[in-house]
Order: sequence, then C-alpha cells, then structure tokens
Amino acid sequence: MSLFRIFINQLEEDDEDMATSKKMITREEWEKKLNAVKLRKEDMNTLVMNFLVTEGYVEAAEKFQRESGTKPEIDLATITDRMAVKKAVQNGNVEDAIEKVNDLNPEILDTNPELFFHLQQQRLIELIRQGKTEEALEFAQEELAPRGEENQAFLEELEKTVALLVFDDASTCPVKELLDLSHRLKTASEVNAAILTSQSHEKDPKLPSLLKMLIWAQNQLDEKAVYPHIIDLSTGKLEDPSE
Amino acid sequence: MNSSPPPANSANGDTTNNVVNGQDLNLNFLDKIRLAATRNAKEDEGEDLPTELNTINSAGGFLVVSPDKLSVKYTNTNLHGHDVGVVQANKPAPIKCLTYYFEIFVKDSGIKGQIAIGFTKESFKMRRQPGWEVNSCGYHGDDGFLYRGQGKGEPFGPKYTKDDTVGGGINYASQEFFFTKNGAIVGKIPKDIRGHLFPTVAVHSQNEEVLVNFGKKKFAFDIKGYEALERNKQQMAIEKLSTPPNIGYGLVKTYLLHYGYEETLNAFNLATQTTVPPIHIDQENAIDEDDSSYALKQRKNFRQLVRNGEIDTALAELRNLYPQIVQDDKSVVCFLLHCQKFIELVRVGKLEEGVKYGRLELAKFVGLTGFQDIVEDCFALLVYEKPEESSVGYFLEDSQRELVADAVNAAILSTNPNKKDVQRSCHLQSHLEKLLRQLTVCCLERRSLNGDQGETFRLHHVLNNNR
Repeated sequence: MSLFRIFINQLEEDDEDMATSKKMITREEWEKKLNAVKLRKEDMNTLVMNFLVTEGYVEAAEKFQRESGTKPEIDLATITDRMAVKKAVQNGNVEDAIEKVNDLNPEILDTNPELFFHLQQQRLIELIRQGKTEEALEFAQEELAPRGEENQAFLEELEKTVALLVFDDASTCPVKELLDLSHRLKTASEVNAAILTSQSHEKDPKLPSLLKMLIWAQNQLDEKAVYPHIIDLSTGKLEDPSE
Repeated sequence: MNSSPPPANSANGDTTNNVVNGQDLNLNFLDKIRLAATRNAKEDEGEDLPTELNTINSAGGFLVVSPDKLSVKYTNTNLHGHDVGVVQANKPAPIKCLTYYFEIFVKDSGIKGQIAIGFTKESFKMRRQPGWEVNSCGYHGDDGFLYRGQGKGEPFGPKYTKDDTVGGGINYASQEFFFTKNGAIVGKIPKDIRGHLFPTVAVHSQNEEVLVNFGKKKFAFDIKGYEALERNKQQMAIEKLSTPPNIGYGLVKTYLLHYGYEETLNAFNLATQTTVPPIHIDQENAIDEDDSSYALKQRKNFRQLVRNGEIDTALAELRNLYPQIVQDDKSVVCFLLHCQKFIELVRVGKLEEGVKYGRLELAKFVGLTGFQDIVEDCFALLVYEKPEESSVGYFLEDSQRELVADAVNAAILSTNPNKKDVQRSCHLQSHLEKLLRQLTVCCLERRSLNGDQGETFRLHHVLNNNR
C-alpha cells in the first residue's frame, strides 16, 4: 500500500470518529418527521383486528368488522370454538374442554403430549379440589402414571399434584399454587396457543411486540442522537429531549 | 405555502375551529387521499437493483460477456497479474435492505481455475482480482482464500471449480460480507468498506467461464432462511424488554374511543371485564383526562352514515348539530363530504346527477391549491366505463369512506370545549398512531445515521409477515 493510500484511509477513519458525537434533533424537526410518516388507517385497523382476534374477542371483532370494514384474518367461527375450549378450562370443566379440542382438531392433542399431560393434570387437580379422593387416585393411576413413566418431567409434576391429596388442609401444602385458579388460566392459555398454532395463526397479537420494538428503537437511537422521546406508552406523549 | 399553524387565540375564536384546525385537517386528510392513490404502487425503497453485467466498465480486452449479459468468459492467455478479466454488475448492491446476495455458477474452470467472486467499488482497477486492491474483497476459487485489500489473502474456505455454485453477500445488520458454496455458508468477514459496492466477478485463465445469477433464477443458498434467522436474532432481543401490563388493551380502548367505534368498544369492554381474571386497564385515569368519549354516540352515528354512503343526511345532521364545522363551505370537511356524495352517485351509475352535483358543489374547489389535483382525479371517475378498475378506482373503495368518516370524526372532536388549546392536535391522532409514528421515525433515523443501510420498520410489511 502506498503512503498516499495510507494517508487517505486515515482521513476516512478520522471522519468516522467525528461522527461519534451525537446528532441533535429539535422538537420541531422531529415533529416534521413524525408527520411525514405514511401510515395507512387500514393498517392500524388491521393491527387492532389482529389483537381482538388473537385475544378471542369474537363479538368485538364482529362489531369492528361492521363499524370499520376491516376483515378479520381468520374465520370468526373458529374463534368461538377456541374460546369455548378456553372457557371450559377456566371453569374447571377439563373433560369437556378435551372433548371440544378433539372435535376442533384431533391432531392438536396427538401432536402435543405436554399439553395433553397438563390438561390431564388439571383434571386431576379439579377432582382433588372437589374432594373426590378415590376417583382422583384412580384417575392418577390409570391416566397419568403411564405418562409419568415415559417422561421424567411429567413424573415430577404428577408427584407434586398427588401430594395435594396428602394434606387435609390444602392451604398448608407446599404445592398449593396448583389449586389456585391461576393454574387453570395457565392451562387455558396453553390450550389457546396450541389451537392458534394448529390454525397457522400466530399465538400472540402483534401489538405488544411493536410496543417493545418502540422501546428498543429508542434505545438504539439514543446511541447516536438526542431527540424527543415517548416515555409514557399509554399516552404517546412526546417529551422534549432533556438537556 | 405557510405550513405552520396560526396561533390558537386567533380572531376567529374557538367556535369556528376551521382556522386553527383547517391547516391540520388540510395537511392530513387531503394527503391521505394522495397516499391512497399510490397504494398499489410497489412499496420498495426506490433503489435500482443489479440485474446484469456491466459491459462498458469491464476489462474489455481480456474477456467476453455474453449477449444476455449474464455470463463471462476469459478469452486471453494470461501472462501476468494485471490482465484479470473483471466485470461488475450494472448497478451497485442496494443498501436499504437486510441483505444483498448474488451467485455465480462455474461453467468451465479453464486452465488454472482462477475465478473470483466479491465486491468492489466503482473506481476499482478492472484488471486486478477483487480483493487484490484496497476497498475490495474477493473469495478466490483457486486457493479458497479471502482477499481484502492486500496482495496476500487469508485462508477462508474450500476451493471451488467447475460445476460449483458460489455466492457472495452483504449482511447490513451485522455489517459483514458472507460467502457460500453449493448452498452452504462458507464464512463471513467484517465489512469495513464504506459506500456503494458492486457485485463483482473475475476470470483469469484461458477458457474460464462463469454464469451469474442476480436473482432471476432460484438461488442454491436459502437466502430467505438466512434473513429469517437474522431477524429472529433481533426479535429475541426485543422480546426480552418489558412493557407495562395490559398496555395493549389500553391502547386498543383509546383507539376505539378516538375514532368513535362505539359498538366495538362496548363489546370490548364487556369482554375484558368478563374474562377470568378481568383485565385491569391501568390507564383508566389517563383515558378520562383525555375526554375522548366526548360526543361518542354522535361520532359513531356520523361514521355509520358516511360508511353507508348517506352523505346528504350526514351534511344535514352536521348543519343541525355542529354548524361550526360546515359553516365554511370551502373547508376540508365540506370538500370531503361533497366529494364523497359525488363518488356515491358515480358508484350507482347516476353520472348525469353526478355531473350536476359536481358543478354545484365541487367546481368551486378547482383552482384552489391543495384541492385541485384531487378534484381532477375525482372527476376522472366519470370517464371510465368501469371506474372501479381504473387508476382512480381507489375513490370507490371502502377506505375512502373510512377516510371521510375519520375527517368528520376529527372535526367533531375539535369542537370539544373542554379541550385545552395545547392538546388540540391530538384530535387528529390516536395514542396508538403516535406510537407507531415514533417507532417508524426512530428506525428511519437510526438507519440514516448508519449510512442508510439496513431494513427499517414498515407497519404494512410487518402485518403481512413480509418482513
């Protein structure tokens, strides 16, 4: 490499070093940029519809279709079915839920042994909750023990659940959170996600990810510029750059 | 045209909000119509892509490029290191994307198999192998070495020869060059060359022949899969961040309130309250402060009227309930409504009535800057037998009705006497919209500070999983 070339390369590198001091963007400039963004109403509507559909709010989705003309990305009838399953689990009617899932798509439980185990486990919990000790034990032996033999993690879960039986007063049991209603919700969520996936639909709405992306984008840009931020996500209020 | 809004305490006072808001509504809704006109245009970043080899800027005497400009053959008998047959693509690699990638297929490795693939700048000396000069890089087939600016290269990957497919790419996210052989990644190196880079191919011994693929044919390497992996990496980092609980619900709720989707809102509230457990929306206080339920029922009704094409009723009701909005017949809201009436007449084939209406109510906008282009496009609907299939067909779509309904909605919101002046602009944008705009600008600005390289956030693409 010639001396001349070395010299030129060094100058280019120096240029880069200068650039590490941050760019200052005033509020006026920033607002101009914000207003210049080409955002389509239909896209925002689609984002909202995606939220309603993934959360399973059928009536809201139907009304939104009527009031805004936005088409839901999946057949609303499938949401009703999915919500019925979710509700059944939330109410503790696990047997009913399992039947409904198989009506919807028998492959879901076939291809999801973990989900199936958790549903059976929930069923066991409900039997214990109702005080049906004998039935619970029978169920555990016939349905859950074989699965436990195949899988160490399942076995541990099974043992924890059966431990509930040992305590007269469940509130003293170390694994009492299994009896919590929140455990039903956890199982319900799992089923919901599995159904959505089987319908080739993403199991999470897009909106929360975009909010995280906003935080990420602001963090990234902080490395190179000073500009107005949005701190309170619920209002979208623009805060002046703190200087 | 003066684009800054007039001071809030203008002589016209608070009742005719058109002066203050006229500027806002002007910029916003008319521009949205112009945006709709471009909707079907392909949404790319406006960069030209390399499509073929550049026959002008090449080492002319030593090689021959085929007529289709997609293959090159070395015709000379080489004697030394300054008679390499180098050829670049006709355009530099685009930068406003996640990656750029192209491939070569070695048809004949000639006497010595001294083929190379890489990237060079426009000023490259076209008689040297890519990588032998500064600000270039090349993956050479005879030794499998990677050269990047010095005579001596470094061991990099396997050699390649006849019947091999070799690819060269740039990853703008990681700022690296990467190379592939027969569909598998060979390796990568940091990209420390700045500025536009041309995909480059070189041949150096007699009878070497290489075919180039700039994307017209399927690649041997799964570039889409590679891009998906790269995006996933970023996505995983993003998912780790935390947001306030149930913030999504709050934003959906304020969105529905803002636009007056009352029935949806009621169903939504019912659903969130009856889930197990009920969703607690933390931002209830903020929602009340906003007073965004002002005139909710009326706004819902007006939206329904507009969406059903009942413009006459809408205008009559506005004169009745919100005369200040329609007082100035040359306001944006009046324009949009009259336009929509015209459109509804065309929709049902009542062209003569449409013309009459146009003369009566729309002619006054011709000659007014800001309106003229839209009026003309709108009138063009009359010309077509099947207007919905024409280039102005977007006027007939549902989205146009939605736009007019949004304008009426914004106008009604602006009549809220409880709203402080400072907050006046927020009747134009829901909180959700503000967040999406901020997200877009942050990503654009970040990219621009990065030499404009890489992907940016585009809501439309995200929604269609085209990211």
